Amino acid sequence: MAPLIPQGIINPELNLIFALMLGVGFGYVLEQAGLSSAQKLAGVFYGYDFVVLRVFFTAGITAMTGLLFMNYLGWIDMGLVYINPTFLYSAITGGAIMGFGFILGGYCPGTGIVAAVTGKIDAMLFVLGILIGIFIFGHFFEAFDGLYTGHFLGNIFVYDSIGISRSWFAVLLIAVAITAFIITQMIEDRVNRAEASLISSRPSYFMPSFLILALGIIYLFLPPERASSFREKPPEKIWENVIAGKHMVCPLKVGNQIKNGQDQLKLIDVRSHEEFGEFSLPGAVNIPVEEVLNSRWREFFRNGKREKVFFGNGAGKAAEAYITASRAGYERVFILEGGLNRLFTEVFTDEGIFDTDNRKQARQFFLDGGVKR
Amino acid sequence: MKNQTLNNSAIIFFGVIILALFFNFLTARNYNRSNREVASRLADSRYYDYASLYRELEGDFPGDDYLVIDLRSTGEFIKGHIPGAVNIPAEKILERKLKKLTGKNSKILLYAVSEEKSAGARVLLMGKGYDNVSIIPGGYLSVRERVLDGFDPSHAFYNEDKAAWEYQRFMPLGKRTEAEEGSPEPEVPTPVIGGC
Repeated sequence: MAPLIPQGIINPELNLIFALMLGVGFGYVLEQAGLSSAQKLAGVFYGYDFVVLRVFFTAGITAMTGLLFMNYLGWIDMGLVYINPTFLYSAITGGAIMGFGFILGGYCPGTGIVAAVTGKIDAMLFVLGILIGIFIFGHFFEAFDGLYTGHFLGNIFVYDSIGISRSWFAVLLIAVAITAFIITQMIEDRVNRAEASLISSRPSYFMPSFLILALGIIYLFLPPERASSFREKPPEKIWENVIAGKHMVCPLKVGNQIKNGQDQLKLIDVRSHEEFGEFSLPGAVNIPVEEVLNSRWREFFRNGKREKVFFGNGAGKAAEAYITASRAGYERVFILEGGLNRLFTEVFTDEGIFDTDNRKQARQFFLDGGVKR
Repeated sequence: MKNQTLNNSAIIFFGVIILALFFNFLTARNYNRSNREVASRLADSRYYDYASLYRELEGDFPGDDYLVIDLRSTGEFIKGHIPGAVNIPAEKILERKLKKLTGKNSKILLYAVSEEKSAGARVLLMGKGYDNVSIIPGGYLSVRERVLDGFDPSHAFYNEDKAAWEYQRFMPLGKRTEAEEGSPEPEVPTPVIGGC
């Protein structure tokens, strides 16, 4: 459930439950497609049965089309989807081992487990072999290390390597899949010496093929992705808050919160990492404006219990971070009025809104090194 | 029979996507530039500076096309403003079509009562798709004091986001060493000299 959990739509604690449900569903589909039979899987190599190719190609292009459109519509964030990085040597070796095992055993790992569950003894041995292989790899990992991490290429995509756009690649892949369906059907018929009556009574797959190809072509001609998504707060709403001054937190409140060590506010330092390294308010986290939207802070900002207060030396940079965060839909964010400069002017000079006792305590607090004793 | 199920699910899949696309085009378009792009532009952009503003007011930059917008209320604007500024109260800045007021490539400079308001307006305008929006640092009072009532070169690069105190001196992240423990009471830190 990769996009849903980081988005905060689903509680991460439910992760394993969803994994179980998806696993059961996947196993069911594999079994229904007949992929728990070694004869069916081996059929691809002998040419009498291409159902494996068709199942996985169909699943692939359906998922691809769905992801492309959901990404376009802003329903999911492709930036949050984990993409396996490419290590060329291990990919080649792994592919060879997998292919060899496929021919030898008649299963791939997923179908092997499905078949083992349905009680096929050869599949159980196949799964045992997988476990032994995992054990050997784990035990001698260091010896394989050079091969395993060799020739790292990062997250590369086929369409980047061959230099075409993502949308064209999607359409081509759909076309290739449909062509493969037709050709493999023809090979199957020839190998099996199918009778003409069987061929003519076969259901037509024209409708689904046509629709998916149509979706691919629609995607090709879509206008560029929209800059705003429906999850974002409209500018008028944000600006209303700013004009009403509801986005400001008074230095007095922040000063009191710091010296009493309460946990109602969460302070966010928007200054650079260098400035933060030299000094910051106790308990503050450092998020410069360009990092506000990073996915690692998503959980932090979505925490509704705390008020999140941006501060810089002044208020300008904090205001920029505030608008960016509000637009992203983060609630209960604020700015420290006047920033650090104002706060410390309040504390260390005799002007401003702090009363004498408060100022004295705050002054002592900071002069003591900001640590409660 | 199985084929019927396949056909139906394919039609539902297709229909949901087409409907979603349709509604996506119907919904209002709030922003013209993505939040991420605005954030990265903010990171490497600088505010206008008082030196340029002063020279601009003195007429040293003829030909440069600037539109200075005063975001304060009309009453405040009448009492005093930067010469040549146009008054658009903050409430109306998002409604006004600024493109009509400016030339195609001209720069928009904002100022308000305080920097936090003009900086915020700038981010929203950038999100709306305006290029070349910058702000005059500080609020109007700061501009009046440092530029309009007599310009002093020490304020040329005045920046409210510059530290007014030497913060690192009195609270080094709570990492005080044992040696400092016995030392006499630290003095109240002195404000940074110069600049502001």
